[in-house]
This record gives sequence, structure tokens and C-alpha cells, in this order.
Amino acid sequence: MNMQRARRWSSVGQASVGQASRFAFTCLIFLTAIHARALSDTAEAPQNPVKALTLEQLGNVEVTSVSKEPERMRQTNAAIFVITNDDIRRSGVTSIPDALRLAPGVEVAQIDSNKWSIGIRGFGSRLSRDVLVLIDGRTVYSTLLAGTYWEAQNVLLEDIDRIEVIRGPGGTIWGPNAVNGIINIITKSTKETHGTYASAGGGDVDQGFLNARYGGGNGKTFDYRVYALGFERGPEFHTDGNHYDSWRNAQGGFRMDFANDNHDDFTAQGDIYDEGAGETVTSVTYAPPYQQVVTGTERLSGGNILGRWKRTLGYGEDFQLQVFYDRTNRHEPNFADIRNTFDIDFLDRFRLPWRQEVSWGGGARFSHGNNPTIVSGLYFIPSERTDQLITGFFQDEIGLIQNHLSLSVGTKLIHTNYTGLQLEPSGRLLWTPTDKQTIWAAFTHAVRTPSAAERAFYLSGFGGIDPTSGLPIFARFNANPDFKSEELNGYEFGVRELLGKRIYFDIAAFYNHYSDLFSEGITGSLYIETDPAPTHLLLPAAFGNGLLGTTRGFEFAPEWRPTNFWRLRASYSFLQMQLEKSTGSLDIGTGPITAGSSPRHQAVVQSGFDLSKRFNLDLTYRYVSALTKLSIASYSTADARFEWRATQHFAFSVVGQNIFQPRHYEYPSDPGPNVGIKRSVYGQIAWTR
Amino acid sequence: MLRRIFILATVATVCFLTAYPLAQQPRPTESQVKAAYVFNFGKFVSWQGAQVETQDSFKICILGKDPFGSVMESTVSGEQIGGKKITLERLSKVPDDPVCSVLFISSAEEGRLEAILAAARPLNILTVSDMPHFAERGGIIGMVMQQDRVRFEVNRWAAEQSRLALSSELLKVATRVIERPGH
Repeated sequence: MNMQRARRWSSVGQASVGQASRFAFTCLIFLTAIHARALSDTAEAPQNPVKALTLEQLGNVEVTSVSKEPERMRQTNAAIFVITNDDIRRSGVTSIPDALRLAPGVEVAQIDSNKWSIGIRGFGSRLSRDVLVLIDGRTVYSTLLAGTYWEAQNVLLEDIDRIEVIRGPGGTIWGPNAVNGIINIITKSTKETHGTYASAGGGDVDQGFLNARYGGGNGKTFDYRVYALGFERGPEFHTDGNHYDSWRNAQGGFRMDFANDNHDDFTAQGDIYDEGAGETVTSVTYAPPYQQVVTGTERLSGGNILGRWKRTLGYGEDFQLQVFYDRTNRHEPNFADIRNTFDIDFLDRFRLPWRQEVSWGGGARFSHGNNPTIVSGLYFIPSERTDQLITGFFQDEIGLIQNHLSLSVGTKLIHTNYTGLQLEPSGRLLWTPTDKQTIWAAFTHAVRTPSAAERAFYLSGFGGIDPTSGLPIFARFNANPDFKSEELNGYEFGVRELLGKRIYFDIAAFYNHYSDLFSEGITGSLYIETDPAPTHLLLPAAFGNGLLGTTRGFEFAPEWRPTNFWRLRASYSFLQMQLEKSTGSLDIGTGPITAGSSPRHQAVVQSGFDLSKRFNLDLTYRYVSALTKLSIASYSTADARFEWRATQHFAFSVVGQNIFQPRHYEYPSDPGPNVGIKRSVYGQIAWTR
Repeated sequence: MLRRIFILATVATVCFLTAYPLAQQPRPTESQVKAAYVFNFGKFVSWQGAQVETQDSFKICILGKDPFGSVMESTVSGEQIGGKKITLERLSKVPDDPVCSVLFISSAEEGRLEAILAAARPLNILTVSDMPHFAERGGIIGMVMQQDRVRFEVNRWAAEQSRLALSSELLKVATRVIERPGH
């Protein structure tokens, strides 16, 4: 730096703040003017910069595609949102639940370092009871307590191709428990993961992580990859100093894809994991001390293996057979589940005259669970059970007007060990007046089938010591052999439109009517119970189907690409829930609490800048309104990520999460004081070759 | 306070951005890469029909709604294939005579693809498109997106039907080579 320039800099340093900001403003206007001019110049640039490349080189050019995802989703007759690999990487998230915050209509509330409450269009809960979650076609929805243990679902984020989030009921295609939505996590084909990827990093909450993957093959008939990952996550903020919620995981897996003479594709894949997630639980026993808050570790381990065979018979005609086996071991301080699940599914598609595309299929799942009693206040009868699910489905998509109007009608048939035959019919209309506009409407009926949580589960709470008899008082939710499926009739409507090449928006509105919803009721009066010993007073209670109600709302998700290097996305989700007791219901207040546990308003704004080929800056802002019945205040916060691709092989990034405040609260913790989600930062180095 | 910093950072970035890309070439667009492919494919195919010989230019035709805008012009202007100048023509239907060497079929034509391919097959024309499953449905070269990259699939059976010989390099680079009729 020469003397003159140094002097000029120092004088800027001495100038008042007002002058500096005026200077900055002038700079902004000036640069904008130059840039506008530059844009108009480049518009006339006569040469295509890549035309001299060879075919092989062209295949390796990464391209910017204007509104690519909208193109992919354009002709879908459902409220779908796709979170791409790029979206995940650039948002800087380190877990699947955090990635789901990017999708409209999804409520993600972090409970502590390793637990989340997730819902779609309402009904958020720790296990996301009404949302079906799949990873590469493997259902991870557990029939034990009805839902998904999010902390046990880890995937090497780099290998995710996309996460499809479908809002609204999807029973016909996806099966039971797809009541409020489907989260479909799809990993990349092994053709796309050749080479080595390794990344390592750490920070104050995500204390350390290591990811590695190696892939190879000939790119046509046989490809494979293997991966390993490990992480250690520290506790969030605890006012009582009980930092119980640290989380660690070690996981590995593989995937192989085979193909032969254009007709057959085979996939084999599997994962194994071993993790420990800290938690506090209430442990209730009929013998003293009756009730204790126990801090311990959830020991989770397991593995899965999946095989899929797909034979392509022609355009729109194929046959697919898939089998998987999943083993889950869950040991918590008050509860255990050792589970083996076997699943087989087939799907066949063919075409008929008058533009009909028919899909039909069937499947069976057997899930054997063993739940030995750890504490006397929480048990299953019988403690070993096999849950069965038999399904069949049929759907016909009819092109009423070629390329412009199509109707899908179909139904799923379900039979479980807890229910008789049930139907999940749907009708969906898709109208594409132009190739830039899509209008769709749907009616769907969906069910959430009963699980062991309602049919075989006994859960006790301690109420104190009766002063007259000196006996302890317990209340217990007894298994309810009459618990039925929860039912939903959903009415939806949506519009998608591409305005020019750079603006895209997606609106979906819904009205859902629920009946036979889960409720909690007192079923009798206090009596003396001698078994389980010792003698105590018991207030009997049960889960029932005593609620009904409606949800209504909409999601608006615009996207704007002002330039090739800047992408802006936003979403606003509105939700109104009304639940009430049905006639004869014994519900003791579950309805209002459930309805007041979802945010009415949610907003997300994301900005992604490609500062250059080497630098990216991504900013994400989000707002969530209050959870009124859970005493959780509204909050807004933001994440920021800066990436520097130093060389072809190395990339460095720094991510700040929840940066607006030292901590904020998203969901209550039970037991114990609520856990504050901390502002955090981590750095990462990634190497690809 | 942090909120203010965040807003300031955003403003600063916008300011920074408006200047920065002047010096930096952004990533090529999908259209540019696709247009480059369409142009390059011509170098790896030999037309075995007699008609092409009689043409005095190498004509690339775009059937239906043109997705390239001016990008195709900027790709082929001043270029030659087989010693012939490349010309462009936009069509609304398959020509009766084999005036085109390459026929790019817009994805807007997806609904009547079977009819288009049936009409083009006897004409000794290289059919190319970026619509889904194009090669599977009997088109000759279908461009597909994979991981932000444009790749292509080839249907050799369809090429033979149109009396086109595809070079081994083209077949080698293709992500998939289909050897059977489309459906």
C-alpha cells in the first residue's frame, strides 16, 4: 500500500459516522449504476462461453438453472416443496429437522440439543405422529408410539439428493399415517457420488463432526459408495445447570446400484449406527420413591438393509419390488424397545388408451417389538407384539385434455392388526393452462392407524400421598382396546406460476376436517389397587377418540432470482386450528392444548448470493409466532453461512446459527425447565476429489 | 444490536455484489450448456442418407416453443459442421422433406412426441430434446440434468432407424445407451 492510499484510508477512518454512511450510500448508487450498465452490455455478448468444450467437459460444467425446482414440481397435483442438496448445504444446517425449517407449512421446534417437535399444517409433536417419513423408500415411522424418532434418523447430508416435503394428506399413494404430510428423503444415485468426500468441523454447539464418503464404479452398470459419519453435539442452554442433552453418533453405510441392458436396475443399501442422546425423563414407580426425574442417556443402535429391483418396460411402464429389514434398539432410563421390522412392497405402472396411467401395488410389513418393563409405571401388555400392516393401492391418472387437464383417482386399502379393512380414497385434478401455470385441487381421505401407544400401553403418573389413608395416588392411562383410527377429510387447492424467467410463486390453501382424534380422558373414579404392588390409590384414565375439529390455512412461497448469482426465496404459512370434544367425549383438555401448540404464523426469507465462483453468502431469516397454550413466545432469528471454495478440492465455511439473540425458546421441555436454543457458530473444511 | 448488524451486513453484501460480478464470470446457464451440446452433437454423428449432401448449409431446427432465446444464435454464429455453415430455423411442425440435420424438440411438444418421432424417423434427422425420458421414448439424444450438470442419454436403436451412425466417443460419454424401441 503506498503512502497516498494509506493516507486516504486513514482519513476515511476519521470521518464521522454520518459522512461514512453517506459515502457508503453514494458508493451503492454508483456501483448499481455501473452494474446496470454492465448487465446491459453482457446481454449483447455474442458468444456462448462453453461452446468450444468437448462433450466430456460439457458434462462436467455446473450450471445455474433459472427456477429449476419449480420446473420439476410444476406439474404436481399436490402441495410439494423440494429441499435440494444445494439448499441443505447452503443453509448450513447440520440435521434433517433443521433442514425441514426451509419448507413452508412445516413447523419445526427444537426441544433440546437432540429433540425436535415437528408437524405439518399443525399437530406438531416430538414424534410427528401425523407425518410419514421415508428415507430412500424405507418407512421410518414407528408403530410403537406412532411416529418418527428424529434423533435416530441421520443421513450423510452431502449424499442427500433432495427432501420432498408434501403437505396435506397423501394416504392413497403413501399409505397410512401420511395424514398431514409426507417427508421423503432421497439420497443421490451412486452414479453421482464417485470420488472421495471428507469434511470435518466444529463449533460451540456442534462441537465436532467428521463425514467421509468414497464412491466409484463404471457409471453405467455398477456403482457404489460407502460412508461413515460421526458427531458430537453439546448441550443447549439450561437455567438449572443440568446440561443433560449432549448427543453423539457414529454411523456408517453403503449403497450399490446395478443396471443391465436398459431394463433392470438393482439397488442395495444399508446403514448401521450407534448413538447416545442425553435426556431427562420422569420415572414413576408404584414403590417408593414413586416419582423421580432421572437424567440419563438414550442408547440407540440399529441397522437396516434394503434391496430394490426396478424393471422398466417402457415409457411410463415399470415394475418395482422392494424389501427392507430394520433393527432398532432403544434403551431409555424408563423404557426400552427392541424392534425388528420386515417390509415388502411392489409397485406396477402401465398405460392404457385415452391417456391413462395406472399404478397399483401392495405391501406387507411385520414389526416385532419387545418392550421389557424398566420402571413399574410404564409398561406394555403384552410386552412382545408383532404389528402387521397389509396394504394395497390403485390409482388411475387420466389425461382429460392432452397436456392440460388430468384427473387422478384412486384408493388405498389398509388392514392392520388393530383395525379392519380401511379405505383411503382421493381425487386430484391438475390443470395446466400454459406451461408456466399450474392449478390443482384435491380431495383426500386419510387415516392414522392405532399403535401400541393406544392399544397396549400403560402410562402412570404420580399424584401425591392421600392424607387420610397415607397411600400414594397414581393416575394411569390404560391401554384402550377400542381406540380407532384417526380420520381426516382434506380439501386442498393450489396455484403455481412462473412469471417471466425469474419470478416464481406457489400458493396452496387447505381445509382439513378431522374426526376421532386422539384425546385423553378420565374413565372412572379413584379406587384402591393392589396389583401392581404395593397397594395404592388409582385414578383410571385412557386415550380415546374424543376430539374432532378443523384446520384451515395457506402457504405462500415466492422465489425471485434477480440475477444469475442471487436467489431470494421466502415463505409465509398461516394456520388456524379448532378442536373440540365430540359427543360423549371424556377429554380433559387435550383439544385446546393441541390447537395451541402450533404457530399461527411462520415466515422464512432466504437469500443466496454467489459472490463469485469461489465465494457464497447465504442468509436465512425466520419468524415463528407464539405457541399460546405452551407459553412459548414468538421469536425471530437468523442463520448466516459464508463459504470459500479455495481450490477445486477444498472448501471452507463458517456458519452462525440463531444469531439474533444469545438464546431463544422454541418448545417446552418436560420434565425440567425449558431449554434455550443457543446462538452458535461452527466452521467446516470440506475436501472432494 | 445483532439484528442491526445483520441488516447492515445484508446491505453491505448487496453493495459488494453489485460491483463484484463485474470481474467474475458467473456459472454458465443451463441453456448455454444445452445449446453447446446441440451444436456439438453434430460433430459426432454421420448422416447416411443422401439428402444431407445436397444441402448447402447444416441446418439446426427447433420445433415448438424455443427455450434458448438468443443463446442458440450466439452458439452457432460463425460455426461450421462438415465444412458447411450452420443455419437455424424455428418450426411449428416436422418438415416433410429432410431439410434439417438436427431437430431439437421443445419440451412443450411432449404431448405429441410419438407423432413427431414417427414423422421424423424416416427423414434422416438427429432428434434431440431435454424433455424427460426422451431417449427412453424413442428420441435419439435426450439431455438430462444430473447434480446441476447437463448429461445425455442415447437411443442407438432410434439412431439406426433414422440411418444415423453415432461415433464411439458420443456413446462413451453418454450416461446411458438404450438399444431398443421406445414406447
